[in-house]
Amino acid sequence: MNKFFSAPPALAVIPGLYLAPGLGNSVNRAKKSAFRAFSWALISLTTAGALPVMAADESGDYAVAGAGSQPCSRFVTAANEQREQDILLFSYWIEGYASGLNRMLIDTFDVTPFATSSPLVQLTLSACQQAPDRLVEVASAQVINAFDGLRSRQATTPMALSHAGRDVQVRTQTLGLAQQRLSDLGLYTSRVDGLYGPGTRSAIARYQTDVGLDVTGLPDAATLIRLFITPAAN
Amino acid sequence: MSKNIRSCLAISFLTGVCMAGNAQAADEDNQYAVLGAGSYDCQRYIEMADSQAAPEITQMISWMQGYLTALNRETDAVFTTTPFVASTDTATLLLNVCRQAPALRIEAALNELAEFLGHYPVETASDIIQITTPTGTLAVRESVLRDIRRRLAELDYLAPAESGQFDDDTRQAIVAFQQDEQLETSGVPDADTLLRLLYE
Repeated sequence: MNKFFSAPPALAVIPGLYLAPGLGNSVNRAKKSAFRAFSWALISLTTAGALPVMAADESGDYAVAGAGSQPCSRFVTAANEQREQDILLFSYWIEGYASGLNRMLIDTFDVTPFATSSPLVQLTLSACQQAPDRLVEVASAQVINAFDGLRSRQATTPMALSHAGRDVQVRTQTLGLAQQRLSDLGLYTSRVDGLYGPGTRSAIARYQTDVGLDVTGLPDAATLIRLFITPAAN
Repeated sequence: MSKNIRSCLAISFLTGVCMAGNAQAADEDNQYAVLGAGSYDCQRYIEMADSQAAPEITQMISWMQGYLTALNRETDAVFTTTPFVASTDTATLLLNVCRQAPALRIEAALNELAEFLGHYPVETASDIIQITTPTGTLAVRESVLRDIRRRLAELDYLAPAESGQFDDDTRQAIVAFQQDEQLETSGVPDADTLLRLLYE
């Protein structure tokens, strides 16, 4: 722990760090920011398995920080042993990673078609199980690349759908893609409109029956993953 | 931290499906989705720091590391946007940005910080050097140390020499610089010193 965190607080003045316009009236753009030191003394960054180390990516082109720099086997072990804190560290890392990519990638609202992040976390775990020696970052990037043609391009508010006591959230664009796949499979004959009606519900239920998923009649994450990731296997 | 999110993520491993908590905020201007912890207000981060809520802060730092890794990945000719090796340094700066604007989204604060730190990006990978401090060790990238020495030489604290090593001369130069700048005289290129040297 270096002096930056110890008492009495060191003050570092950083010129030029201002908040973007419109984000707060009380912030003077020209004002120098007084940086307060903070003690992280109680914060253990070595929670059980996930050590926040750093690694370069395989080509050495960029730094991978924290949980993403861990080998996949760590994530798999944490999941197998149901170590919640460690699982959360990996999950949060993946969420941050996806958010950063969303920020950086042009024409991308979200790198996955899902309305929540848990499918991405689960798929990263699956990818990790298949290749435990890879970095978690590599596994996560591979999953995201697999969604290349399906990522959300535009900001849309997810629809909340309910059926038989279950709820899911899905984007219209995503449901439209699902309808198209179901149509290609001969299970859906109505219009591809991204709207959830009886035709979509029964097509999903038939698909779920065919591939051995829980028959919810809803475009839940497991169903979307199966539809999008493994179309050839259907 | 939202109980919703925590339980959502944990449960997802048991049920395979999680749609309970929708912790997602769209960036209004640039239209991109911010998932999870970064979508909360800075106030939340301030509160968890002030209450020393260890697991939550560790998770927040993990989110931050993931976000910064994506920025590193997608920024050309940049190895890492932050000159610090210790993620707690970056987390401290983020906290300080947040304290200035508690209503700001954490992701926006981090993005702001990354943009600032990105004025001095680390362009290539280099060895990480461990420097002994009065209270432990400080990790510094060799390339950053090289630039620190170059800057100290520019300011006449150190005789010019192309080196990424940390020697007694460097330590004395840093002490003198810290005294002149009224920084704590740690004698090592800690975060405050590094910011003052390289970002002014």
